[in-house]
Amino acid sequence: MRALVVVKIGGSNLSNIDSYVRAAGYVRQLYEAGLLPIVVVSAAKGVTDKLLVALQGDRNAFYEVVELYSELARGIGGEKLEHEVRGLAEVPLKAMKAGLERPVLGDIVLSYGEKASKLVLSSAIETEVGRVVRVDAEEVIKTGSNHGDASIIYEKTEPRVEWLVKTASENNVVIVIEGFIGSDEKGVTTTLGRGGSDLTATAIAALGGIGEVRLITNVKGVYSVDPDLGIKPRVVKCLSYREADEAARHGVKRFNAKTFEPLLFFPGPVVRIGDYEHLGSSVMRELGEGDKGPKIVHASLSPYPRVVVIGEDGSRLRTIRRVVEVLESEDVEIQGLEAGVGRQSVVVYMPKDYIPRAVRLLHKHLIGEAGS
Amino acid sequence: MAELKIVVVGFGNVGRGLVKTLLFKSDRLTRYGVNINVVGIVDSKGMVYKPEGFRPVELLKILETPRSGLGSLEAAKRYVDLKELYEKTKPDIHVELTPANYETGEPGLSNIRFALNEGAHVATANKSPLVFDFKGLTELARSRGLVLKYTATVMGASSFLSLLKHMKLQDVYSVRGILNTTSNIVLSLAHEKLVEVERAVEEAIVLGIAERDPSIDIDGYDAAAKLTIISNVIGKPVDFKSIERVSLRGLSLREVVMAIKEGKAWKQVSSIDYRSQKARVALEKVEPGDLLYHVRGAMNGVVIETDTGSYFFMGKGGGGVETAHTVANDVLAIALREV
Repeated sequence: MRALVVVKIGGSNLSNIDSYVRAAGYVRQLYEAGLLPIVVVSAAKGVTDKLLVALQGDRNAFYEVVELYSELARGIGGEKLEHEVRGLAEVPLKAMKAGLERPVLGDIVLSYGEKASKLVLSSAIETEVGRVVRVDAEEVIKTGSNHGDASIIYEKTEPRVEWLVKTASENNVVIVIEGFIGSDEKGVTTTLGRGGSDLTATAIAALGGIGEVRLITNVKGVYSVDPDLGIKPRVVKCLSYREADEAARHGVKRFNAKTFEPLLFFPGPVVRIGDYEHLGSSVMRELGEGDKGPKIVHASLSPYPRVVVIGEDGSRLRTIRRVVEVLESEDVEIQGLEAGVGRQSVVVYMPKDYIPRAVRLLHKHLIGEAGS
Repeated sequence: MAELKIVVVGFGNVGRGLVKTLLFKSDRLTRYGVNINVVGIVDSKGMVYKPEGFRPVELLKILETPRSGLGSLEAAKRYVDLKELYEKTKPDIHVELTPANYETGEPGLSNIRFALNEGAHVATANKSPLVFDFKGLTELARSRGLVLKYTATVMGASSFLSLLKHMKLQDVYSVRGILNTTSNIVLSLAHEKLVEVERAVEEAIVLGIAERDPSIDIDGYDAAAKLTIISNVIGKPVDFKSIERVSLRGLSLREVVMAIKEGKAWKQVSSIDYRSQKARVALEKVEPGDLLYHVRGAMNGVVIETDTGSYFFMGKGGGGVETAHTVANDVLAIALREV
C-alpha cells in the first residue's frame, strides 16, 4: 500500500498555466515514487488580495479573479472546466449583490480563490496522474461560526478526515482539497484565517494519522533570520512543534499560530517545508539533544522593540547568559529580558536603534551565517 | 454477505449525501452483513448505470458532476428512462429523491409506482407522492410484499416517524410542531438580526440554507405535506388541500420587534387538532413557556398529545448529510429484511 503524504501547494507556486502544470508534475513525481498525495491547494498568487479589494466594493477586482481562473481553466482543462470555474463565481456574486453582512460575505467571496484553484489544479493532476478525486473542504473541515478566523472542531472533523484517508488509500487516488476553507454547523462556508491552508494540511495529517506533511512554498525552508535585514540566513534543518509554535507566536515569517495547533493536540506527523527541489526544514515532535539550541533570531518593533532568539531550551540559563554576553560585548543596551518556564525563546527588549546590530550579532554568534 | 442493488433517482443534496454515506459507512454496512451496490443514478437530465455496481472511485467521480450534470459524464445517457434502467440493472431497492411537486406529485409518484410494480422496494425522502397517494402507494407495496420506507420525509435528520409509527395504541388528540427547517431558520435570522423576513430569506438562499425558490417552505406547503404524512401514520388522514396555510412573507419587521419586546417569538407552527377537526400551518407568536419557543434555527420539534399524555420530539430538521443518513438507514432496514 502507498504511504500517504499531505502536500500543500502554496499560492506563491500557483500563478500561470505553467505553474499549475509544474505543481501537477510534482504530484506525479510523488505518485511515481510510490507515495499517495492528498493535495491541499491554496488560491493562486495575488488572488486573495484581489478578493479583499472586491470586498471593499470594487466588483471589478472580483471579475479580474474570475477571468484569471477562467483563462487558467481554459488552458488546462478546456471549455468544460472554464464553464465550471465561471459557474463557481455565481454564489459569491449573488452574495455581494444581496449585501450579506461582512464576515459571512467575506468567507463566501474569499473562498472562491481556493475553490477555483482546486478545479484547475485537479484537472492538471488528472492529466499527469490520471487518478484524482476532488473533495470539498466544506464537507471535511468542520468549524465554529467565527467567520474569517474560524477554529476547527476536531471531534467533528476527525471522522471526515478518516473517510478521506480511507477513500484515498482504498481507491489509490490522489485527493485534491481546498485549504483555508471549512464550514460551520449550518453548512455555511467559513475560512480559517491567516495561514489557513497550512492549518488544513496539518489538521488532515494529524487527524488522519498521516506521517508527513509537505508545505511547498517558493523558498528552500525556514530561514534563521529575515533576509530582508541584510543578513545571509541559514535554512533551519529541524524544529520541534514547540519551537515552531513559539516562532509563530512571535510572528516569524512562514509561521502562523494556527498551523501547528493540530500537531500539539494530535502529535505525530513531520512537517517538511521548502520548495519543489529542496524541503530544507522539518518540524517534528521531539528533537535529538544535538538539535536543540538557538535556531531563529527574530526582530519585532511592536508593541516594544525586541529581539527574540528561538530554540528548544531557549529559556535555560546557559542560553540566556550567552545572549547577554554577546550583546554586552558590543555595548547593546538591554532594557529587559523575558524567558518563561517551558518557553522556547529568550526575548531581549532594547531601544529601537540597537535592533539591527543585535540581530546581526546574535545570529553570527549563536547560529552562524550561511556558509560560515 | 448479502448483495443488494440500488438505484438513486434524484441527485441533489440528499442524493449526493446518500452516495457519500454509503461510501463513508461501507464498513458499518459490512458489519451488518450487507453490501449495497449502487447500480444506477438519475438526475433531471440524464442517468448513469452499471449492472455490476459502480466502484467507489467511479462514485467519487460521479459526485464531482455539478447539479443536473450527470449528462456531462462520458458514460451517461442524456435522457431519463426508468424502464431501460430497470431492464439493465434489475435493482432491489429504488431510492426516490426527486424534488417535491405539490401540484401533481410528479415525477416521484409515477417513479414509486413504477418501482413497486417492477418489484423493487422503495425508500424516499420526497413527500409529494405520499401527499397525493399515501394509501395507494402503501397498499401497492403491501400487496406486492415490498417495503415502502419514508422516514426522512418528516424531521428528515431524525427517526421521528419511526417513533410515531411505534405509538400504535395511543389515541392521538393533537399534533403541533415546527416542521419546516428553512422557515425556522429564516424566522430565527429575522429575530436575531432584526431584518425583514424577505431579507432573511434572501440571505438563507445565498448561504445555501434555503432553496433557490423557497416558496414551498415559506408559503407552508412543505409543513402541510408533513402534517399530511404524520396524519396518515397516526391513522387519521388529513387531506393536504384542506390544510390552511399562512405564508411567512406577510410578517413585518415591526411585528418581529413587537414580539421581541413582549418576550415572545414568531414561529411557523403546524398543527392538527382532531377534537376541533382543524389542520393548519400558521404564524404564531409563542411564549417562552411554550416548548416550541425553544425550537430554534435548524431544529424541528413536535408535541403529540395523546390519551397517555404529551410527548415532545425535537431534533435537527434537515441537512443533506443528515437526511441522507436517515434515507440510508431506511435502505439498511430494507436490506436487513432481505438478509
